[in-house]
Amino acid sequence: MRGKVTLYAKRYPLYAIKVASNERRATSNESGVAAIALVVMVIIILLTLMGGLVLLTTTGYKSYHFSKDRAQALYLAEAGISQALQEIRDKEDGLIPETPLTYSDGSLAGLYSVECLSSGDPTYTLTSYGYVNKDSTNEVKRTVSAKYREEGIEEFKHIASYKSSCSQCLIDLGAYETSNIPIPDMEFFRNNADYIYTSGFTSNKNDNLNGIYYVQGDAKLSQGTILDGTIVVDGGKLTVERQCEIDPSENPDASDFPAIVVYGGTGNVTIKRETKINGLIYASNSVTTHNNPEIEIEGVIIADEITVWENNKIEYKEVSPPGFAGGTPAVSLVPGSWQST
Amino acid sequence: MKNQKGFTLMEVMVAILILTVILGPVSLYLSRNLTHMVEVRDASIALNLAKEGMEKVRSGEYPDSYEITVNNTTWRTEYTFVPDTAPLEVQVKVFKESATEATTELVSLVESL
Repeated sequence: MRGKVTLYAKRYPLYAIKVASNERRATSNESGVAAIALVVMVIIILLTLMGGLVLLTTTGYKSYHFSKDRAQALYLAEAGISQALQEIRDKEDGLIPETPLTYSDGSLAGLYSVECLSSGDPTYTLTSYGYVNKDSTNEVKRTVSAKYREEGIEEFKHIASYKSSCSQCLIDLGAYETSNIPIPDMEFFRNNADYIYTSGFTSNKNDNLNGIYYVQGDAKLSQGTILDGTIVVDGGKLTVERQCEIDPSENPDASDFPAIVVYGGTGNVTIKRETKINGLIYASNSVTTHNNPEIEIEGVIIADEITVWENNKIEYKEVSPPGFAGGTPAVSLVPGSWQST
Repeated sequence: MKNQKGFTLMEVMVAILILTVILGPVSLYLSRNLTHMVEVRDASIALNLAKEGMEKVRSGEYPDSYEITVNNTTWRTEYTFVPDTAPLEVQVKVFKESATEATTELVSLVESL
């Protein structure tokens, strides 16, 4: 170009300047287009990067909300299980319709509902559903299933085959049938005994006894005997005459022991009127009380046959004594019932 | 020829104008997104702490409020046991630093503690 301009300039100086100017403008326009193309490219690249970043953020945001909703839905379903258990314990059916639960600010956290199937035995199958954003496109549903075995009335018949006219008394007490009858560890009691009698035992009238008595053969607590401790009868029967009192809690060494254990032999316990017993009574065969309102038993009766009367005062005591099925604590007590551990 | 290399002032101005017009709102949006990213990160931490707190209650603990430091940020987990509810209604709230508004909250019912 420079050569051309020089050539034109030699012949036509003004024209040469004009031509050079036009040529420069054309070149300049091309460069402008390139600049815009460059800008557009930069914009595209930046937009792509930003789009990715925005997508990342949005995904993280959605992910958080999804996690939050899932967690909340799970806790709603768990809430349903808790509610159903409460209802079953209150002798209701455990069916919960859709129930809302709210956050502290009053906004809706979600809903829960529970289906409860009972197979007739004390086992319930609970299925609880937790919903967040129900009936929307963002609905989250979680399900929790649980099996609940009720400790109570149903299981007791196995150890308490009611001969009493007052079977309802036992039921009211929360009597239950179990295939896991606790078995006393007689060796344990023998090892912990303060007194061991190998050929039966009969207390004197109005005797004051203290300690853990282990008796082989039949035993009898005569009228007015007060035993601050435990009597264990191995291979015999026990008769508790009128006006006796048995209370292991009065003896520091026997405070958590049962009051009466009769295992093997005839395995019977007979409790006569005006007697007070504070503690567990175990008989491998039967426990029979007299029909007398002045009999007071605060503890648990475990026997194959239990005969108690409506006017007996019997209350459950939620203490797990040692010495059953191998020692402490072989069995544990739940409110109103025994269960194996 | 030297003058033909590079851009004129006008071209540069136009390019800057285009960049400003297009990238201005985008950068603003991007800035907001970055803020959201921090919020999401915080919310995720808070959610995990809230789940941990709820599990403590469900396992039978009756915990007081407690604090934990994660990446030099202190988080406070607070429990609210709604009185006179059976099963017991429990709200677990997680706060960042000294914030008065909870970053996240979970609610459930638990059997009596």
